[in-house]
Amino acid sequence: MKQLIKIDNLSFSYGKSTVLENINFVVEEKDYIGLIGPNGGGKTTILKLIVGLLKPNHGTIEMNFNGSKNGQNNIGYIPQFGSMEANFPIKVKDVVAMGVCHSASFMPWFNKKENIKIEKSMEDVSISDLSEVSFNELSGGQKQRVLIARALVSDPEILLLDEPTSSVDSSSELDIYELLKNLNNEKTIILASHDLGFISSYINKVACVNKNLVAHKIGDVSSETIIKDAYKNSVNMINHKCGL
Amino acid sequence: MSDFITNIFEQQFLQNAIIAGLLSSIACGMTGTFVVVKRISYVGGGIAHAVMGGIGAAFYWNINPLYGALIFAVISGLLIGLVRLKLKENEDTIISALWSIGMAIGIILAYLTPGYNVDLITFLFGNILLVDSQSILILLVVDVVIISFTFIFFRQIIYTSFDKEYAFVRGIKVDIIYYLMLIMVALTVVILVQTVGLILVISLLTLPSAIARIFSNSVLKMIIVSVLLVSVFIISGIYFSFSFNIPAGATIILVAGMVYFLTLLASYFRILSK
Ligand SMILES: Nc1ncnc2c1ncn2[C@@H]1O[C@H](COP(=O)(O)OP(=O)(O)OP(=O)(O)O)[C@@H](O)[C@H]1O
Ligand SMILES: [Mg+2]
Repeated sequence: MKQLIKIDNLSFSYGKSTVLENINFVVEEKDYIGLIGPNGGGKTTILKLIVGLLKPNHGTIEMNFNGSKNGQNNIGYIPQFGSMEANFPIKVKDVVAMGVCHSASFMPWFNKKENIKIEKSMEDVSISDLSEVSFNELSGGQKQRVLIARALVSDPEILLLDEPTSSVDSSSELDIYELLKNLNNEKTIILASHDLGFISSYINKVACVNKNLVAHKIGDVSSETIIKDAYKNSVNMINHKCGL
Repeated sequence: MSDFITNIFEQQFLQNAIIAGLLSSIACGMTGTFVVVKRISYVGGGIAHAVMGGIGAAFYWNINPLYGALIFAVISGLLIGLVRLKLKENEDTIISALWSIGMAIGIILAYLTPGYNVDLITFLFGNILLVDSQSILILLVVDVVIISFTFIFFRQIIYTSFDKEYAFVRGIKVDIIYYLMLIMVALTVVILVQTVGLILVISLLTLPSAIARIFSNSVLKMIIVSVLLVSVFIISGIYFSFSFNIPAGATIILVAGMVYFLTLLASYFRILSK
């Protein structure tokens, strides 16, 4: 399998405290990786390093995409806590359209090709009927779908999702996971979650992050090892999670 | 009213005032909208007062005060951006510093220039009825620059204001866009110093767009409504000022302020009745 992302010896700290230490990690084409770990374990930090919002202190992240697209069109990113300005006058469609905007997007209007992509990705997450609604009038779960559509619109090779279902109801959660499962036929997915629950039956690898990172192929190991790696033997957690 | 209209056709200064007013409203409605959605009205206030330094310097060296104002405005805008982006400090301190240092430079230089005080008052409180045709030409050029910036970078400006982090992930040069916005604010401030004077700039920059915000669910709509509102405020301000012989700048601001509070009141009662 082709290696899409190769993380080598990576360390990162915000100021003094080291958050990630000596991470080695390979993402192969069509992987569906569950990035799990406790609160503060460093899941969000790893994803931000991959999209380039943070720069590693040591080590390297190598990207190796197939297409000839611009770098940023190969990655679809769904942040955990959006950095969106509250109460900003913007319609759902324009938020989704942000996913095709780049440093050479001039003038206020989009072209036909962009328009088709935007409509399509709104359909994919069933928000077409919200297209003209103000983004700030949506519920948390609806917003989450919009952000997923925004990440899908550039048709990226890899999707990075940071707790994408933290604010959706359980039937929407299943919808989203079904959608991701279908997308996984052509796309590579990394999904961060502190909860293996639903995703355990979809993913092919688990990466446990808690300052260090340990990756397992699903099926190679028992659920207990995985949880222990992530939570450093917290008995509470072992009892609580037995999704695999 | 008919008296006012006949006068417009006869009096050159009224024609100039109305042309300057319409030109100002375009810049003001566009930039004001970005200022309101990005919440940087204090940047406008800081630049407006820093401009006083440039006006004082222009008096002292006897050049057109608008050029002095332009140079000081753009430099203060860029300084604010530098402090924010390179030193990662909050803007507040640099803004207050520029605010008062600019005023101080202006006051000293104007004091050292004979016959200063009349002209200085004009820039503090503006006087659109004194705009000459050279100033209108400068307004026109600045307007063209602001309109081009707004159109060309429309999406990048909106997305940078809405979600800077994601805009960065999309490869948009968010820092350059921020500097661009600061330059737009600087240019608009210089335009408005003519119209309402530097003390009242913030109100005209923010009130119309704040009113427009209540009725608009997109930035484009906000811009259109703001431009219309500013032109209505300025023209009616000129009318009242001319009819009752009171200062134009202050009258324009009072009209804008009154409409703003009426809109707030109306939207409050609309919420209540829901
Ligand atoms: N901007 C920041 N500045 C300083 N420290 C930070 C910052 N963001 C995160 N941290 C620290 O880095 C560590 C890892 O945070 P991160 O957000 O990556 O965890 P996470 O695994 O995503 O947690 P969660 O499950 O709560 O989302 C935490 O200890 C946190 O305190
Ligand atoms: Mg997180």
